[in-house]
Amino acid sequence: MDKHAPNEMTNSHLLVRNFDYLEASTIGEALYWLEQYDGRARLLAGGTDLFVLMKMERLNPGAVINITKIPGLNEIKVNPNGSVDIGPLVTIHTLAMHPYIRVNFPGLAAACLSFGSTQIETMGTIGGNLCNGSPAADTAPVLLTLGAELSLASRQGKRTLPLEAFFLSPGKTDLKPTEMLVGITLPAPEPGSTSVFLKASRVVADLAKASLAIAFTRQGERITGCKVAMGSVAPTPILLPNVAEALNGQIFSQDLLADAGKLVAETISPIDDVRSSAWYRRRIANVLLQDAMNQAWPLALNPKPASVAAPQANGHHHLPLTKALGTDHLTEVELTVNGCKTKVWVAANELLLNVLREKLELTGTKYACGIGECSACTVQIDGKPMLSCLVLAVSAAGKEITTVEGLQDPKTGELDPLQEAFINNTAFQCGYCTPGILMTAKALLNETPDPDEGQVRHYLRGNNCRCTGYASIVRAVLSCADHQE
Amino acid sequence: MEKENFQVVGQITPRKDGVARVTGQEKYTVDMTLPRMLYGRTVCSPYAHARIKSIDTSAAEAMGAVVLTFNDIPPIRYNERIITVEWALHKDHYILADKVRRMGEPVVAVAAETEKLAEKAARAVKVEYEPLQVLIDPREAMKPGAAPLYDTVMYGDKEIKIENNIACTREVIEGDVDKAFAESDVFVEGTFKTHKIYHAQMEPKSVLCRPEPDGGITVWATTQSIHNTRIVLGQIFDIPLSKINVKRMAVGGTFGSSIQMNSVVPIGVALALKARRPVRLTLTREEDMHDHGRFGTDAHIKIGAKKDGTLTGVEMEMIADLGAHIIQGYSFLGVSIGWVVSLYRLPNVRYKGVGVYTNKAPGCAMQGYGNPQATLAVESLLDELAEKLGMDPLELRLKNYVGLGMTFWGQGPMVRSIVWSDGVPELLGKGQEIIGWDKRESPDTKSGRFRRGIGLGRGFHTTSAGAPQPGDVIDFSGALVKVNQDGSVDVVTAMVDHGGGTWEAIAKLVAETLCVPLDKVNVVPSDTFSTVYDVCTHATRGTYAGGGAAVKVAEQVKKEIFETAAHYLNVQPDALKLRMDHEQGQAVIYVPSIPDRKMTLKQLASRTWSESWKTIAAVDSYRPTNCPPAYVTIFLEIEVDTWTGAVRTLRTALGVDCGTVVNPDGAIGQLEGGLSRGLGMALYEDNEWNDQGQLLSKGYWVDAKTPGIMESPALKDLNTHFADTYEPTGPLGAKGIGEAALNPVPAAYANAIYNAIGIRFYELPITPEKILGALMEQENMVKEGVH
Repeated sequence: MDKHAPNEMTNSHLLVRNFDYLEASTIGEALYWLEQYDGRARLLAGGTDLFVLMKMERLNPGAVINITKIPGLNEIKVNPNGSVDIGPLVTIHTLAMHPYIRVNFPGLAAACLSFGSTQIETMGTIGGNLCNGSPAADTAPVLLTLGAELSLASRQGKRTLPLEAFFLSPGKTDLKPTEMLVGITLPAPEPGSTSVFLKASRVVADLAKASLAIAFTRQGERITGCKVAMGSVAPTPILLPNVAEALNGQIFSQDLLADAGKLVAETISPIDDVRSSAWYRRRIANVLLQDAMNQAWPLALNPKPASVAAPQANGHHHLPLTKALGTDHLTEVELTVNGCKTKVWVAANELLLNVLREKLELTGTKYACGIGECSACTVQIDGKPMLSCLVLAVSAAGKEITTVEGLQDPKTGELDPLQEAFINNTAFQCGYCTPGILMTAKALLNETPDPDEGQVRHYLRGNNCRCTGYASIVRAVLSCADHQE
Repeated sequence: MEKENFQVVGQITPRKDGVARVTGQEKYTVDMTLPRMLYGRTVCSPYAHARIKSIDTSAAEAMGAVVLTFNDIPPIRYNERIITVEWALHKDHYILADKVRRMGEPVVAVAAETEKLAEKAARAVKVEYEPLQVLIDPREAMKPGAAPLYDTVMYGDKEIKIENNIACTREVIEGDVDKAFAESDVFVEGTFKTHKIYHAQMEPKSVLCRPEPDGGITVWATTQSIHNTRIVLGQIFDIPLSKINVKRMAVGGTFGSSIQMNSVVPIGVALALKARRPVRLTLTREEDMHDHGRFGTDAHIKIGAKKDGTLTGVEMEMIADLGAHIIQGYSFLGVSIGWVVSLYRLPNVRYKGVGVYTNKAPGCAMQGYGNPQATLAVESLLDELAEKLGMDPLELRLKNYVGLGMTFWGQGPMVRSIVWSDGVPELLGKGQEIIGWDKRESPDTKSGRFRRGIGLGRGFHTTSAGAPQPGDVIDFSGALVKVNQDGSVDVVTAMVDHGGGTWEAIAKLVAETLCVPLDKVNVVPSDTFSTVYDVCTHATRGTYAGGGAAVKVAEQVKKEIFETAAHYLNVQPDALKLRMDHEQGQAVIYVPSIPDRKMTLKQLASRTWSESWKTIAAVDSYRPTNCPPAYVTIFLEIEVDTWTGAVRTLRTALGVDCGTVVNPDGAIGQLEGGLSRGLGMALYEDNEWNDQGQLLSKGYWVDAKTPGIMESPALKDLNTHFADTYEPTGPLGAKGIGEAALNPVPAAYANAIYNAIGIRFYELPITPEKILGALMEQENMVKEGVH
């Protein structure tokens, strides 16, 4: 590092730079715009990486092309031969909850549930997670072991690429600036095959210090069809073929795993960074290999039911017309907030959080970190908990937005039972994080009316509270669970 | 008043601010807007240590921004924190930097019609810097020849030279340590290091200022002390305090971060005065993270003891990393030894503390103000001593702790008082039973990958900095209590509630004293215009000192109620009593021996009103003459994964002696919150700077890891308990709790980890990397690639 290199401060409260905003309604349209902007446009899916990078000013695109309204890209299609086509806009949460995925690719479901927060799970997409090109991408290792194949489209045509050829270096993939990821295919699972994913991080809700996935088939006491991959231990997520080789065809034993663990540590090329150190990553990689295999081994014994569930779509809405908003222009959008339709003039780079707070004077929703790490800004969009600090106001048009101000009964002003529970359990102190926690917990109770303590904690894992130590919050949410009544 | 007869105090009641806080209606400073308000932004230094060569603001001004540079500000050096008396106060801070001393230091400020325009304008300001040697290690900073951060600072009204970047030193000698050590049989010693971690309060610091037509200002600010904020603003801007009104706001957590007048406050005020329009200035998280942190400490402590476990004396040397400015660093040096000698009887003391400037975020108080650091050292050493002596660590503590009837000087050498209430034996007993202390095994009996350990951390915090005599620290409170025409009561206090329930406690104490139902006692919104002085909500003093003031004044109101009612009831005032009548929802004034001589407070107050007589009210100040210890004991069972170094919290027994428990739910919340922040300090939180003075996290929340909901133990394993005590100097027997809840937590983790794996850690945080590294060393294993 240069001595005295200046470190300019960024502003996580805003998207400082201007950009054009485009909404594509077809893949062709998105590709057309990509070409028009000649590498200066970025595609917007979940926004949980894109806007963080833009706030950190590591990316300054000339245009943001919203592809979330393109039909058909958010579906999980199970083919008759058992292979699965996953649309790039399928959210991490949808993937984690999908019955076919859970049964046949448990490692993928586990990876999805290990994201830093429910909000990121809900907003983030599988396509975004891969195209961001992070060495720490949680879904990448397991998808590598599953032999995922990507379909990439450009105006020149389509090509397919095995995932292992996709990642080039930190933040860099083989995706050309004019290309778009349009599909991910998982080959049909071998009968009896399984997968597992484990992650080591500072606190549970965090980026990985190191992550590891294994896919294999158990034949009696023998390991077959084994693949091993890791994240955060090399410039890209990587397959470890030599480790897989060492396990393949072998009789399962602790000695075998210990040797394989050592081999993992020797194979990877981790670095020192703010999250951990290289030597520690080597040690933990060894342990992750052994723990992952030990965790998956007994579960791999039972042949899985060949259940093929109906694909679940992320409910999408009527198709709007293609919308384009130039850099310096304001556009009038209609937001539906707490059941009221309101028209506001916004610029392309205005965040929903700031529009709610400054223009609609709904200050219950709070800014605290600006980069989707604390969840204080959580609102519900179409009933799902999302981070309003990483949502463009213009892209929220036409959706149902609920803020903490909308939790009370609009007619009587009666508090929601969850709000009552927070008061009765003194589940707040300073109250600053409370609105975000309420909106998240309410979404949990809508999804899972009778959660247990583990479910409450997992769902709220990304909501930071510095005052209470969380116990009173858990008590309050549990008191609203069905079985309590 | 008998404790068991309390009707309101000790009851769990829905918090008065509950509805506001669960509906998003609570207004924090960041939520405030005013008509014609401008948005402020600052130009932050991209260097940690630099001279400012030139500033060109023309491009920003061309955008229509109001721009503030060093030339526009009053040339006055001040200290943001003025609880230290003037003669002992170091002042090194200007509103905008004269010279850059930390990364992100505000150099220029702008205000514009929108936040975006302000941001643009700030970026258009051109500043030329001459970078200087960056000092992030206090030991380097003290070396001769190191680049000086300051040539001089103000000390009171004198200008003093700063040599070797040493901002202040403090020595304390009591008894004769050499003699005591010569007579000792056993010694334990260690060098303990703690880092400059970040408060991570959820609300970023903010200010809104409105210039008033009469030349005054109204200020909404994130602060723990509205009066001290007003006084400093008066000094800087030379405005009479009678024209400065600082509003008391809800605060989104502080943990000490807003104990001083925040740096943004005078910048916002100066911008507003220049613009002649309201200006709001809110820090981004990045700026906030560079703005403040805990004091880092590096302390060598040696304790001597006799064979029977009697402690003889302590020798301590400490270097405190103050960061770029001094915010109560001198007091910090004093309290650091105070915490040590108030934990255990150490009659012979030799101490030297040095406060050093570095190019890092200024250290300000953070929950415990040096106490968790001191407690980590002392409690670790006591465990070591117990092992050397073959004594039960619990027994060693009971033998030596500072308890009932003893002199206690928690808040530094000049703040001494007597312990009048002591729940320590009870707390230790309960915790011992809950955690299964007696089944605790020594580390050498443990093997295998997952090893469990039980640890104890015992500690305290002083409630207030009260003392019989004035010292170098200001500590008093005040309150105004008035009876309304319907028998309800307004309590007007300057005391800020950071979220812990201080206002709830004050309301309960007044309700109890005046026998008025709690729903009719309101701690009303207030500001510096409407309140008498209160020093600050800090030092675990909210309930004890703020509540103490409210009870003192409520007693005066009670006296006036009796005198006034005596007039109507035709009896002697002394014959009157008060009781709470829930059916009528009123306080009833009555004569026990004459049943028909009674009236409700409403009848009394409405009569004095309709007869054009008076408002029954009182206002007064209250100086606590004691600072009783709130004792806390933390027992933990943890599990160390010896393959990964990860620590999991399995079970806890958290106990507090806070005297009368005013808000039981709030007090439990304090213990649970203290555990969470304490475990963050013990295991996770760090704030590392590179050699250029840049935070490795760059100010992003993602790398300032605070514990989440997954790190707190399961509900069934989280035990909390209270000691049954009554503090005779406290309001209705109450002491505080706040900081005490955190202070012994890191020590308890260090001791539990030792008990699990037989390795003692002297530096926080105890990360998996450190644990695994130490385990590998212990096993004499070759570390591949260890740097």
